[in-house]
Amino acid sequence: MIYHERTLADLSVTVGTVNLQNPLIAASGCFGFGREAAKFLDLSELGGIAAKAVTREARCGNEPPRVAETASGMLNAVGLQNPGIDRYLQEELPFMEENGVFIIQNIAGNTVEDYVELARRLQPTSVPVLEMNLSCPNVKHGLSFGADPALVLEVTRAVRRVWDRPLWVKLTPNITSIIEAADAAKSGGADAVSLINTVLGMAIDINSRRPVIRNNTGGLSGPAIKPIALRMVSEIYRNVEIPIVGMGGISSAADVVEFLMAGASAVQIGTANLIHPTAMKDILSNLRKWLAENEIATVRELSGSLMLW
Amino acid sequence: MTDVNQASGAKNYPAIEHPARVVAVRQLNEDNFMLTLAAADIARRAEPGQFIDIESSTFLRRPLGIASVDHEAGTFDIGIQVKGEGTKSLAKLEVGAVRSVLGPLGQGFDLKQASRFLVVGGGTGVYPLLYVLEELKRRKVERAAAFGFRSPKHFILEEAFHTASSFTAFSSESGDSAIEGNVMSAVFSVLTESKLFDGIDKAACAVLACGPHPMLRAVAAWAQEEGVSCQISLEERMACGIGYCRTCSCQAKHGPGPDDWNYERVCIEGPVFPAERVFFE
Repeated sequence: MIYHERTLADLSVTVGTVNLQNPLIAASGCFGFGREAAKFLDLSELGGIAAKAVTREARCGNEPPRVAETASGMLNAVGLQNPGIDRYLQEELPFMEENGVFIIQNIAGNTVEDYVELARRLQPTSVPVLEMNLSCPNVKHGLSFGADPALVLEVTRAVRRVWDRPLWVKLTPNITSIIEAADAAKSGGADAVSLINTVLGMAIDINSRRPVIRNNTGGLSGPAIKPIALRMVSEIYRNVEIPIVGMGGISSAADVVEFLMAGASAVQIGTANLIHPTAMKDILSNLRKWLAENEIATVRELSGSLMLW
Repeated sequence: MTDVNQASGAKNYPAIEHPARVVAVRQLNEDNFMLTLAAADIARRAEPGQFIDIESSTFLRRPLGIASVDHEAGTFDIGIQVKGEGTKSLAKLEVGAVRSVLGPLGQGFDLKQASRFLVVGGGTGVYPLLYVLEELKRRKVERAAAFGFRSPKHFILEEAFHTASSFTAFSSESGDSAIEGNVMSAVFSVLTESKLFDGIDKAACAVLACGPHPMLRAVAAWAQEEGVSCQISLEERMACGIGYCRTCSCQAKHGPGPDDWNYERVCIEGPVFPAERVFFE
């Protein structure tokens, strides 16, 4: 099908003060630093990459098995395997810069000081956006920051003091009230919230009477969690005044539209990349088609357009 | 990896995902099947020891070793042991069905490492070894093959292995076959019969193995004792097959110290590793 120039929709979006050429961002942990995907697609054509979480020290990750297949999704417990901030600055950041990636750098830690130190190290770099992973449920340090609004507030406020560019806080769905968590992030000085991270779960092998993954529990992702994510995005959109980056099981252009309608300004795509290596490219082209077919001029006008009953 | 299109200035990326058409399905024994798939690009590039990742009826793809390649026809074979829903749906595919396939993936066996190869396998690990032996035959490289199975009814592809390797031994632990015991009985038997390594410089000999962990451990330990190099192909639970997710990790050594190891990806750095880099707990 051929679309005339004038029918091509404007795909650009803004998340607070952040301008993205299109709303599709690769979700942290499903795309590494883009090295593998660079063989199959042009990284500079994506809205951005939420690059794999980096920690102060290198982490070797969890013992395998780290993955289990579930109905319409998968559980993983990789354990934040990453080269640590030093090697990240030497090797991974330059790679992303050279490839024209719009970088949203995810950071993770065990203490408030960890997050502050990571933000301090990234402040003098070219990284335009920081995303705080407060929710990775896999690393054994007790309660995750994201599960307690008071901790969300404390760590966001501390990072805000040393980071002067856009700050996104990634929220965990493993909490009673997602609104309270979003409120805490906002009070702490976050410019946007990204949600949802994976849902804590378990898979069991009845023959061995053991959990399938060595970590016992893991994070559930994929289409199985999409309804949970949509509900949470919609709740925050209606109750907290803060830009939203939505994610959870997005695997088609229609899924992207659903998240935008629910109130997201942009979206992240994770698990879909693991099934189709060029999923983001395909979804972007289908989104473009959908907008043209529906005669929608700008993707931005979809945000929050959901009409509740 | 990427070429620049002179006319448009745009980069051309090699396709990773291919539609593959089923051209033949063969049942090998009670729960093992061989599919022949047509996907010319994969057939053209596939190297022995590499794998593909095929769409199944369940959420994740199924990583399967490439068992044989017909370059002229643009087809390749994959062996499937029915274990669960995903593999069952693949075994039931009909001729003409088209499924999305990623590949060829991973690092295969290094067939230039030596001039004489002993190929050792067991269980579903025998499938990629068929392609290894066929390629060694094509290159006229001296070879012998030893396989271990639980019982003779589990033997698969005997004829194909006999055709690809002049010396082949099958052992069974149940004791009702010519060679009784685990795969090492087959190894000793075929080495005696073929004299493959007799009087040959150890540096010219190598072992290539694929199969269950205890088997790989035994083969690697024996090869080390013999002073012969050994490459092994590993399996691990995998999500993407292309290095994005970091779930299919295995401990791999990068130095002599006890802490000189890292988790490496079976899908990218593997599935074939030098045996001395792998831990066998």
